[in-house]
Amino acid sequence: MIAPFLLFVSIFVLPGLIVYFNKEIDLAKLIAKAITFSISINLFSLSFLLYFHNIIDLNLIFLNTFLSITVSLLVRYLLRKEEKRRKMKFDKWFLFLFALSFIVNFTLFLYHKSIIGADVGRFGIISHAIFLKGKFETNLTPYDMAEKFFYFPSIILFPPLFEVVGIDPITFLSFLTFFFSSLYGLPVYLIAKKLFNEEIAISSFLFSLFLFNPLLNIGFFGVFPYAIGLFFFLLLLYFLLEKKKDILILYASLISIISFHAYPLVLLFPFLMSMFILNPSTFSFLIEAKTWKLLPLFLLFFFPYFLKTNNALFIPFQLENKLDIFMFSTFNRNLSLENLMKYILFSSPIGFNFSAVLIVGLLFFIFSMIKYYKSFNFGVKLLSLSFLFSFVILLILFNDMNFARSIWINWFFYSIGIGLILSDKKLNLLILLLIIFTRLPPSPFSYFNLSPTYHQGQVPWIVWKSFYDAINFIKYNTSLNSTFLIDGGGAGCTGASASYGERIFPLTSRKIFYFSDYCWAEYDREEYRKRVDLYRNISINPNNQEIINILKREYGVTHVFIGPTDVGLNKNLFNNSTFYKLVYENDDFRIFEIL
Amino acid sequence: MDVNCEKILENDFLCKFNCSIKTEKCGMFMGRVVVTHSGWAAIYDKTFNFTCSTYLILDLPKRSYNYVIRVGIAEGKNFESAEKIIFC
Repeated sequence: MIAPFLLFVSIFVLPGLIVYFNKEIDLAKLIAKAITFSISINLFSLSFLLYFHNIIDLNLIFLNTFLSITVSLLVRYLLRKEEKRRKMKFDKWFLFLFALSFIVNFTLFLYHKSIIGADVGRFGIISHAIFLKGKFETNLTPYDMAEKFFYFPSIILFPPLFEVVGIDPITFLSFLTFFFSSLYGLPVYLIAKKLFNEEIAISSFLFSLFLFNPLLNIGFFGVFPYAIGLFFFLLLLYFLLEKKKDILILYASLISIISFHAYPLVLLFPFLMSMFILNPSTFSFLIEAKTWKLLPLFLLFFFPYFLKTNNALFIPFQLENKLDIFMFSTFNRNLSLENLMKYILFSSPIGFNFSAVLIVGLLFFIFSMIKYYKSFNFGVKLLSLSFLFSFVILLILFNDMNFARSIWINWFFYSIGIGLILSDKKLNLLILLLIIFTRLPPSPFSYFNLSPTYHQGQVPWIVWKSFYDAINFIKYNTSLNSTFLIDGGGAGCTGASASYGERIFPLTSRKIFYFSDYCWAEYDREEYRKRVDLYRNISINPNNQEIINILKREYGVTHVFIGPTDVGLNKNLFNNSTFYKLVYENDDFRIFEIL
Repeated sequence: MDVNCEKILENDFLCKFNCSIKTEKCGMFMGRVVVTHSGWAAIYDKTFNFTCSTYLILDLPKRSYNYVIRVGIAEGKNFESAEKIIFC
């Protein structure tokens, strides 16, 4: 376990710590800057090395660590101003809540072992394909249908490194999500401290971590690249509010956002507009600091990665992919204004589940804006205006399924709204106990409530222990050449296997019979539709000899994997057929061998 | 646009639907029909050249389950879509 830990520290923390350790005396700012800078510098060093070195092995890890630390030392040398060590400042409550956040998220990670949803399986497939190929390329055949793809670089480049030191991509990406979830309150704390005071910052920190944590909500249900991007989005917002001439960290946070997901950036507009309206000269510091001079450096960070993926950049804009997203958003577009407002203000970004806690959040936000209008004029004006602008933007964005998740921004406003009203630390400790006890969603504590129950025809809400038992059976009892027919595949620019069967490949290296329909990948569409048809026909009649022969001869399918929420493949039909032999069974999963 | 499906056959293995798809404008459009189960995963996905009124026959596995049929057409930069729940 030491090697993965050291690798994690060298990628996500160490380079930034080297640059900012003596310069930054505020602990919260030090952590924020260290992580932001570390991501961007590692993105640069890794994509640069992979462009020239092109081999994913231990040497690459060594070279990457060496390069990122060398660059960090160079930056530190160039930035050195005050070399005297000063005493680090931090609030005891901040430290207590920060530690508690780590404990809760780490316990959740140990409890669930994996985040759910289809995306982690999908990125697991990409990572494992790259790992098996031993080099970064966008053609994933024969392990996946994607002949080329474009996605944001951090999710693609980091997981194969951890595979080198023995950590599978599902576990790594799940850990990464819980790690950033435990940090989510940090930018909220810094923003609230900047706009109001330490006391309000601490209470906002508490409510953002333990009551309104959108990062965990979005990340746990699978959309983790976007979720991690929004953490850096809030940090960029804070660094803009600081108006310091440390332009490097502004660029670093921008790079960090885009390295995970670019969509959070659309929410910058409400804040930028509000800041400009309140003070038209607010961005003059960017001009004074000659920000544009660093623009070539910013482009250089992405350049090696874009050189590798440039032939796939415009795949999402192909007609069929645009139509796919449009079709997938039909429900969102047909909502009445009343329902639209309910979804935007009171529902969760993923799944659009309503929560009474969000109604309380809005009421507290409105009340706090009225109550503190005089005492914190700028902060209240900025938040009120930004809330109104973002509400208008959300009314438009909700039409598009991909952007509808932007409603998380309201949780940011709600946590500060409640923080403004409930700023008594002792009272908040009691409220925290109440939050822990009631475990109401969207609190992270509510994720302890998830149980291994399921509804027929739905993607599961948890990954069972029995799933890993089935995976172990595959690992130790089937040939490496085996191919598994799994339940489900892509639709609407995504894909979801109801059995989590897509995880078989990243966890065991056995191939799966799958059909992916991603709007950011190029694949043979005729082949995709042929596979959907084969899957539908074998679902209707598992005894269809013609289909069985095609699956066996053309695709090398040897096994069928069916989970508890079987939707297409019916385990009873396979059980009763003479063409299949049941080779593994537990309470939830069955594996059949094709005879 | 509008999509309507009528169940014309049901047995132990499958349901057969006759679906009619009517578009607001008439002409020849590139279109796509997707049937999903579990909200996200496809069990039927085909691309067609649509006219203003198109019919298609769908065979779906019998599962006592709500499938969603989504239909979309593209005419230049304009898109139309409709969806319907069908039970089998």
